[in-house]
Amino acid sequence: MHISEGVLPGYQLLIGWGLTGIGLFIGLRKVNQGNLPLVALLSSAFFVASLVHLPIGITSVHLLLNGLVGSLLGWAAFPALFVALLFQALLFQFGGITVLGVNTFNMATGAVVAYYLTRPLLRKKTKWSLIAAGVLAAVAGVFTAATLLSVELFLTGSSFRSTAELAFLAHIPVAAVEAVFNSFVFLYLAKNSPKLLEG
Amino acid sequence: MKKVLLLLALTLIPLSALAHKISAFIDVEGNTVNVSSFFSDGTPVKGGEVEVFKDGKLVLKGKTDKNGEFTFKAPQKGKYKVVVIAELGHRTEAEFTVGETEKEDREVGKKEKVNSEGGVKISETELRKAVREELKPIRQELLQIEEDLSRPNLTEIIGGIGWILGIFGGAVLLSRRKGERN
Repeated sequence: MHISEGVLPGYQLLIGWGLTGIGLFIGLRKVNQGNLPLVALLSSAFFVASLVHLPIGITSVHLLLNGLVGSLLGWAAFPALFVALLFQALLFQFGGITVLGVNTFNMATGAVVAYYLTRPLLRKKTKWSLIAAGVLAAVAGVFTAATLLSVELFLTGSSFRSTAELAFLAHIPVAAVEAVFNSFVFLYLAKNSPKLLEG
Repeated sequence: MKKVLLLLALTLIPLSALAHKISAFIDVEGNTVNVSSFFSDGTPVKGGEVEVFKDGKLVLKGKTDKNGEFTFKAPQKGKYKVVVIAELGHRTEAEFTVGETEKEDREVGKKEKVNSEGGVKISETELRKAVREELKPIRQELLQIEEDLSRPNLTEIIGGIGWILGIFGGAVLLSRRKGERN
């Protein structure tokens, strides 16, 4: 779900950078000495997750983990995902530098949505609330990003329905894998470092 | 148990196949140009839109088949640019040069016969064909290397993780210094 260089028109790139700038401004204020190691860890987890490809036939998709990053970091997901996407663009040519603003906005908005949706569930810390949070984080993160991507591509002239359908269909397996992964992470954290779930 | 599973999941991650950009590889044979396009995990780009430009002008349009390939005949000699556009906002560019066209090829073939040492006469067209055949494995190997290079490799992955941890580690150091000063 990285938009390549040269696909979007200039105004969208600028808007993307603007919105990401606002997100980074809010996000950086949420980063402190206490959560910096977690920000770093989740940033590199996201960096690597995009290399995990799921074979689904119609197109090529990969894990995003933006829901997980978001539910643990909240707005601090903006700087975490920005740095990870920057290095994916520099080292793997995934996405690109000019579209970095848009790509960060797509991913990090999904992360922030996941944060607000999962916060009450994560605070409860019962087994089922944690699993529900894992599923919700995956679904919210992945499909918010897919929706934003579809809207942006629609504005460049591709049909919204077919793009959105493909984006959603292709990412169902991604969301499913992430739901399981997130649930394990939340259950593990609840046992070993419950403070992380209270952010 | 959960710890083990989590560890397992984390260690399996870098082993899985890799995704997510598209690359286009071009094989020029005479004036026949073959464009093959893949996602970085090797999935062919099916039904991707191919646009061929010469001197900035669109000269040809087409779609890749189910193997991610598109073959066409270049109308003229010269430098070309190919743009491949796949679904969900993927796009890539590649350049190639066509050194000869079939028309010219035939003319040369008619005009001159090259004398080879054994006294057997072969036309330049045949000679070119023979050389092309001989070079085929090398060209395929080059394409393979090009494909391999376009994929993220372990060095880059580990390097990237290092960079990210380093940047945030630096931020910790800075904020600590600030904290000490206050």
